[in-house]
Amino acid sequence: MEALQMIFKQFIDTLVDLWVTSGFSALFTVEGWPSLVMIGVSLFFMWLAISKQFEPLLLLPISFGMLLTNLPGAGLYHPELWVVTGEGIDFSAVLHDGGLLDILYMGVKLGIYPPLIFLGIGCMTDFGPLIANPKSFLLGAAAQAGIFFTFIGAAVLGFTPQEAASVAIIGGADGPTAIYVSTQMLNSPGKFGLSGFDLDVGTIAVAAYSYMALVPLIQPPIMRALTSKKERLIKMDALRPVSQREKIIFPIVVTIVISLLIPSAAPLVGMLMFGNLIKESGVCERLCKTAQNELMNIITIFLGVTVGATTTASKVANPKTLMVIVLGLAAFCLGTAAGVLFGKVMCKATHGKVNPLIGSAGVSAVPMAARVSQKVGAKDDPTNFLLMHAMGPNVAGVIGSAVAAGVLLSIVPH
Amino acid sequence: MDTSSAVSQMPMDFVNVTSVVITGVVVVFIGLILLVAIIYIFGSIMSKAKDAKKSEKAPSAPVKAAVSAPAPASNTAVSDDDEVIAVISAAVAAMSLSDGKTYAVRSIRAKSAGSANAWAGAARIENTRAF
Repeated sequence: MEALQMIFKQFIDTLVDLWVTSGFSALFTVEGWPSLVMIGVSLFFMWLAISKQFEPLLLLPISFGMLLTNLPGAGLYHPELWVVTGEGIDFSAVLHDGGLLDILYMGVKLGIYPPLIFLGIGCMTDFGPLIANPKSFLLGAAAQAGIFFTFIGAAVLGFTPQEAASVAIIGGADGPTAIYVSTQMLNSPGKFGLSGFDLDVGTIAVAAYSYMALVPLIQPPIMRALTSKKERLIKMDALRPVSQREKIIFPIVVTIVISLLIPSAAPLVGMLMFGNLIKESGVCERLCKTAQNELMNIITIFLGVTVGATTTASKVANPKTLMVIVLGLAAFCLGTAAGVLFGKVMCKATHGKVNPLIGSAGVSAVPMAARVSQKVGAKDDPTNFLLMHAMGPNVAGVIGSAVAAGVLLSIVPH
Repeated sequence: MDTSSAVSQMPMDFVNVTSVVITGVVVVFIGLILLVAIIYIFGSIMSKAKDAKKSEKAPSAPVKAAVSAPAPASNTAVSDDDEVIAVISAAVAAMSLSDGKTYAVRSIRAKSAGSANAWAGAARIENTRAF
């Protein structure tokens, strides 16, 4: 009888122990509720990705990473390992004690994944419309003004230069670029020897991808408000055909010029152009296929889930996160407006040969923004095909945001 | 990482912000204007090279519509591509055989890009497919 009692007591003790060490007990405490909120947020993003198809290829991995990281005790990701001290991040500690996502996160922190994504994007991008109409580069540059205007906004709201740059780059409407810049920016030791930032790369990435998915909603009202019906009805001349030789030389020239001008843009622009050269050369079909499919998909999974994992409750639950949401939206709106306004300037300069609607495509977000230009134009005149014309500024926007990223990295101390 | 200068994490003053913004916008524009110039120069060189090649070709035989099975194919084509005209005429001829009517190819003209063209449509889809 006594033995039975002992067994029962031990059984209960073990159960209590299990409960105490379980995630459940950690979750339903005063310290646990922010994690609970973050789990709710992650479920919301999963819903957006699955039901609303908001950039699902990225938002789904990100939201699942968000879920994993906020489960107490799961130990997949340890924010404390990524604290930057005077000597930088202690990577040997990461290798020793890191969980699965810590190990994968090294690819983000070391700036490896975003350029590899760019490699794949390069393999999928046709720069033909841009080569046929090089003026599109100007629209791609104008739309980057959103980045710098947002920088002002962030500074006014009391962000540090590094945080302001990370938020502003959301306006580049380019996920990998935003991740690339923000990981490097939010990487310096803080005032007291700890990472002094209230923001994390996950928040930036989630904002960037969410707003990219919302481009079809954000852009059209701005585009219509800033253009007259007459301007929207402008039909543009057919683009000249571009020879293969031009398409081959283009990535080489862009790499050399941009890398020499802004060396810190070289990893992004270089890989983008390398991918494009693989594609246009026509002699590396296998490499091209791998880069744009398997490699890109693998990196997308690693990047998404680890970037999502940085959104631990302690990092996200602060007022700056809310400001990022507002500033990110402002960045997109300002970029769109700057592109359209510059399109109007070009329309005037060319005596009505440029439809200002293609200017908004300069924010990158390929090919969504170009599609929006097409749709807004087709609303007034269904026979107006702006798509290929908008692809020019659109792909120029990718180069433009990579350049803007390089500029931010070189002029903002980090 | 820039370790030589002290990294400021304090909120910025007006001068800092303005200098970042102005430098940023100017450098981005300089970079892309440089590319515009280079691509223009490059494009003009390419088209000159093409013109030179064309003028060499010029004295070759004038365009003739070779194939025109049952129908007389009067050809006022702007296109100078014999093969394409031959293929189109053959396709029209095949069509007339199958439904017993006679068709004539009166002219073959290049349409402006962006018009309802299956190839252009396919290219458009290809270019806008989300990654």
